[in-house]
Amino acid sequence: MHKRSQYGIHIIAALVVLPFVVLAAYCHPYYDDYSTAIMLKQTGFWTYFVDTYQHWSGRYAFLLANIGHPLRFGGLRAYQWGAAGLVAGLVGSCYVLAWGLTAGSQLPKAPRLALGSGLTVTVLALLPSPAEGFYWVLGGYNYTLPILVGFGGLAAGGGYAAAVSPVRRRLLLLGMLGAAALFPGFSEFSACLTLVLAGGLLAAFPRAGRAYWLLAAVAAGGALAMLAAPGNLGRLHQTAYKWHLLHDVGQALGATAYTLLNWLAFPTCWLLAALALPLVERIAAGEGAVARLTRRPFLWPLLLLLGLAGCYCFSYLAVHLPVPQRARNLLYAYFIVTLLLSLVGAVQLAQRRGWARPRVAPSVLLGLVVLALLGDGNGRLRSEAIGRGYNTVGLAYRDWLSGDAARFDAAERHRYALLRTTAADSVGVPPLPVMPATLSYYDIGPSSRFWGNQVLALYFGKKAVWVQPTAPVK
Amino acid sequence: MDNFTGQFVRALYRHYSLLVTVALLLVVLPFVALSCYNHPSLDDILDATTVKTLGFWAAQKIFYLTLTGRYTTTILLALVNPLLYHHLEASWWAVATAFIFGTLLVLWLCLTRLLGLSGSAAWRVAGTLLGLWLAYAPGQAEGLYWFTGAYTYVATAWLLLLWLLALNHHQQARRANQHSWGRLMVLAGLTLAVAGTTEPMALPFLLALLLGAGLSWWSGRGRILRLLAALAAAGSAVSFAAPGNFVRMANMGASFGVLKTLSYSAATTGYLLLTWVGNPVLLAISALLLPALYRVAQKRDQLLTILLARVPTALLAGVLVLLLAAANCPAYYASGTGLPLRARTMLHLLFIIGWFGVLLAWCCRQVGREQLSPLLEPLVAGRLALLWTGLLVLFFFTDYNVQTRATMLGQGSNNVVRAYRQWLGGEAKRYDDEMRTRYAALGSSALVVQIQPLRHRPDLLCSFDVADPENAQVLHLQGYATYFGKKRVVVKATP
Repeated sequence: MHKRSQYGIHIIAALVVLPFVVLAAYCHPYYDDYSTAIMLKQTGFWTYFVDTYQHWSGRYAFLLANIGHPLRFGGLRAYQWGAAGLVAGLVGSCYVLAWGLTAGSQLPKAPRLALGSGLTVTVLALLPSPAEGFYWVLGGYNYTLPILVGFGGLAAGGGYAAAVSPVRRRLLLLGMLGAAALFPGFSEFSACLTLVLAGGLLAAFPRAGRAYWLLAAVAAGGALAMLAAPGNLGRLHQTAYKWHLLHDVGQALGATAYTLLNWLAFPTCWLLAALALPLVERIAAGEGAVARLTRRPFLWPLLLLLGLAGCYCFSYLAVHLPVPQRARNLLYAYFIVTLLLSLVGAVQLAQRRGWARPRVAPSVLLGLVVLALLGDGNGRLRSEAIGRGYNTVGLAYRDWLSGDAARFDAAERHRYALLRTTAADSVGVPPLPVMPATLSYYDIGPSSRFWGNQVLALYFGKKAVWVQPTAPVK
Repeated sequence: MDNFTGQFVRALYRHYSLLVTVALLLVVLPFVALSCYNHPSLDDILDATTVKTLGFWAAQKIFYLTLTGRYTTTILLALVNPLLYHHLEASWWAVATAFIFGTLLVLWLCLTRLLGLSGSAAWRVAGTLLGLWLAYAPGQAEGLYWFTGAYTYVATAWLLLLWLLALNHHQQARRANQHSWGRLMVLAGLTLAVAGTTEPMALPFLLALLLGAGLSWWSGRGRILRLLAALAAAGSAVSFAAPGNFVRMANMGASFGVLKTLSYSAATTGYLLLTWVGNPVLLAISALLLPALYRVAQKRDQLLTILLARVPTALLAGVLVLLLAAANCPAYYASGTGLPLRARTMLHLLFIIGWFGVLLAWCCRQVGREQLSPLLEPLVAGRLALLWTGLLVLFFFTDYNVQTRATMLGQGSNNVVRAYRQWLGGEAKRYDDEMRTRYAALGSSALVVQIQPLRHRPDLLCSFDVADPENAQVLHLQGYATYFGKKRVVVKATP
């Protein structure tokens, strides 16, 4: 990759990351953030962990992550730092992943970093829900942290295969084992993906070394501990489950196809893939773990399909509903990684067959990337749709620069001031004037009996809080 | 698996033309189907009533003095509106169909006469351009299914393309020393006709001709462009200076000054180009058509390809962008608002033609060079046709619903998906039923008729409802009543 293209992709990545970091300064806690903070304060961490695992949810890695719940350590400022940390963590994990994937490819540092920037752009530009992925911190702990852990684990795997020093190999193996143990414990979907990956890879490479069998065993054990947790089973028994097997599977397959259609049709993905082709060729021709894992060209496309379809099937079969928006962030990251590995596999196939790569000037591709990122797909030229298009980054800039985020922040702070300064036990707060799509997830409602209202009241030491049906704050 | 893939790819290549033809038919089909549910809008009826009441010449005078200087448009209005001749409101299907196939025919004529394409290839390329326009034009309800919008804007684009054909024909005859006054008169007539159409067409047309005339004066060759520029200037002067324009301006929003007009036009042009050029379907189709364009460029037996080979591609693209900006100026200057969607629908058609014109110019410049541009080389070789086709299908069917929200499901990133939804989902039929119920009420013997606002208004078909409580005006309803021979039409709000 040419140096100027590398600078170009770094600049684009910086511009893509910028609004998400800035918007962290305007985010505010939601229901679960308050309720979990209250429980942690009332019962202490370990009691919270054991009680929740036994009676509510098997997400042990998520429960462990709550040891760092921002509201345990401070107020709003700590929460906003938590959100910024999630953004920074996701960006950092993209670079770590790029580093790990290119281990053993003899590539210099600069193009490896450029691959990290490319991954950052791809992941952030289309992230299905930044609101639930970063700015609702507990949502991020559930579904963004496993991306960080998964990317880290994959990177450790790449490094492990390329490492020569025994100490380094042991450390990286420990890292992989840690990731394999934690990843399935974040949510049911990370457990599903774990089972698909572990099963698929072992079926494709039955003669893999002991280390890989150990990893698969740890990961499968983690998935089992997550899915078969007493809390999950107990909750399942509380509701009368109705089987709609064919209907649910049909819905799940339709949703998978639709998701793939919309994610695959994002031009930026294709352009960045074309830009990364020279690097991918080097990875494919190397002796690293990635080159070895992608020798079967149909393996990774198959794992991509099975992973997405498996998660959708699980969701539809368990609750007859699609995968929630926040979980699609995790699925999207899985999609990107498996797509990249599919690309490496395709390039290996092309190399074996002697197909020549069409050469397109990187500057043209970079120009098209910018064009694709700037466009909002507003073909009908509706004025209300300007800047609200399919691109998550464009929407983030819009929410920031239009002042919507600042207005949302001011209105939330006004509510806190009311809750702190009003002497009465019951407080009516004004409705929010705007709910920026990048930042806001849900708001409390007009009924003080709604559980979101109740936990907010409890957090601020009130008996009841509700949204007054009055004119919004300007 | 590999064997199967190979067989599949070979079968695909063997039946490629057939597949393209079927795909194009499937793209055009829902628009033709929607035509069957189309109905005249308010202006179609009011204009017909005015012309019938006043007669042709008096109506022209009224239009010129009180409404608009677009003399070509007002002449067409007074001649081709089917409602002038018969009560055809319940059989309005032929109108949009005529505009769809008329556009196809004009495009085909251009491809065969200007580029020398022939046979089914010409039809397929014309169909591709038509399909792109139908699928991605921003306002088909105003620009295609509304008769007044279509003859004001789509027919204007036809006139421009016919003018190009006439110019090409005239110049080719001159090169063969076959001068004919008849050809010159047709060309002059078409020049005056284009100058008398809508401002977003007439202004860029005039500017382009003035530029051409300036260049021909500077090079000291050819007087024809200077003559045509003079005619266009005269026609535009008659059109732009009409008292009706100023009357209408007085009733519209505040006029922008020159600087504000220029800056708004530049920003709008940037946004239009970002949206239109950034359409991945256009880019995939361009990649698929480049080998054919390169073959056309290699022939060098047509005047257009010879001319394009002399013009730097970037210069041509820059001039076309400036003309697009000029097209946006009159609306901002006159009313302080952007062009209506029907005008942008016409501009989209011209953008598509201009886009492929620029690509052809690029190919023409590359022919004869020792080494092709590294960007063009893999594209014209056509090796990646399968990849482009796959991407084209992917980009065409996506909703760009990256958050995969249920509310956006099946909304489609193009008009085709929406057209199928409105046709097969029954919305168009329900709209048609409501309109027929309204005609039945208006056809009754009562002198005062109550009509209800439409409950179903498919957004590809219906741009205006005379009974919409937000827009209903007594004057409009009176025009409606006059056309149907009633004393009064009143709107009865639905409970």
